[in-house]
Amino acid sequence: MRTIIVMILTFLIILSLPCHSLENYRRIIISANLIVFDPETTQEMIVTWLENNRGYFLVKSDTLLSARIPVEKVREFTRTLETLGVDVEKISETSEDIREQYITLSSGIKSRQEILFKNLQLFDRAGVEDTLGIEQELLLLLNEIESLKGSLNKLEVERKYAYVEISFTFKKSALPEKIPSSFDWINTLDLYRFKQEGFPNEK
Amino acid sequence: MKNRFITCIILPLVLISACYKVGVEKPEGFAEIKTCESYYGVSPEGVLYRVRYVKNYPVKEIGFWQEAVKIHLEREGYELIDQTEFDAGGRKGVFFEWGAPYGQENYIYMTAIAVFGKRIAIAEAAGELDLYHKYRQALVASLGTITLK
Repeated sequence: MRTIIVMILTFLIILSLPCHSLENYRRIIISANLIVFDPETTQEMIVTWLENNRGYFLVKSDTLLSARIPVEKVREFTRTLETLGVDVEKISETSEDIREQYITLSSGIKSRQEILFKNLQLFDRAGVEDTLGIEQELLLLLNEIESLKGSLNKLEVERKYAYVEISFTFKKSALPEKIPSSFDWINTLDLYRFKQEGFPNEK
Repeated sequence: MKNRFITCIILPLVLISACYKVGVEKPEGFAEIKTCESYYGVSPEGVLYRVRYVKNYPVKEIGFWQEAVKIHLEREGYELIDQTEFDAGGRKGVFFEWGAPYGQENYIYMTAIAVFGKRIAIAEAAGELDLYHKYRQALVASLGTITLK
């Protein structure tokens, strides 16, 4: 009889455990260094991509852009970076399992909530002397719960959105040198010659 | 009588036939000048635009010339920023946008080509980075109007 009760209880406990096997529990960080001719235009292109793909930027400066993108869009994003018409000097992706942190925070909140509930029950029955002590403990517990919830929310964001950090290096081209082509007309394609010839004078 | 006939009738006809007129619409905001050989446009800030024709020799299709231009300018050291196809009166064209320093400024040099049978239309535009972007849309719209008259 006792064995049956233990089995039923075990089964119920297993059922009550959260099933997260299909969810993402990874913190994904992508860092890239792009060598670009025009950082501003490239940044605008990236921001447009983010806006169209449920992402958002966190920091944007001349040389750096950090953003969050939905985890399911990571592959698409890295492919986009490679097709922006710029040199990708470095692109790396790191992934960290945050399941343990997630479980620690969740159980931390749960246990504190249980203590909070018990203290509230005591609070109802307490005399004047005990009230102050219980009140202080309640405040402490509430602060701890809020802090843990904040950390849990941060992990939730990290589960859903990958963090992206892109640094930009401005590439100032060296002055092109004249190399003859086998085709005469191609030799006439030259920025400096074009600028020098300019707009024709009045005849 | 014979000499007069040649001077008055034949010679002008020969001169007219030798001149492949460039057909292109002015980019918005540009001033223009048309000569027999070329079309010129210039913005108030000095962004230049030119369209001309050269002989398609050896006769090849757009894909060949596209590669030839790209390889050559890359080899010379121009920085390829973008390569885009466009439609020039039903013919496939392609334009490149190159980055290069000009004095202390960063310039964009646009080179476009479209093959019209025995002729290749070449369009060029150049301007300081911000100015080029200011007129880019107008320039691209003008590329789509290139024809051989």
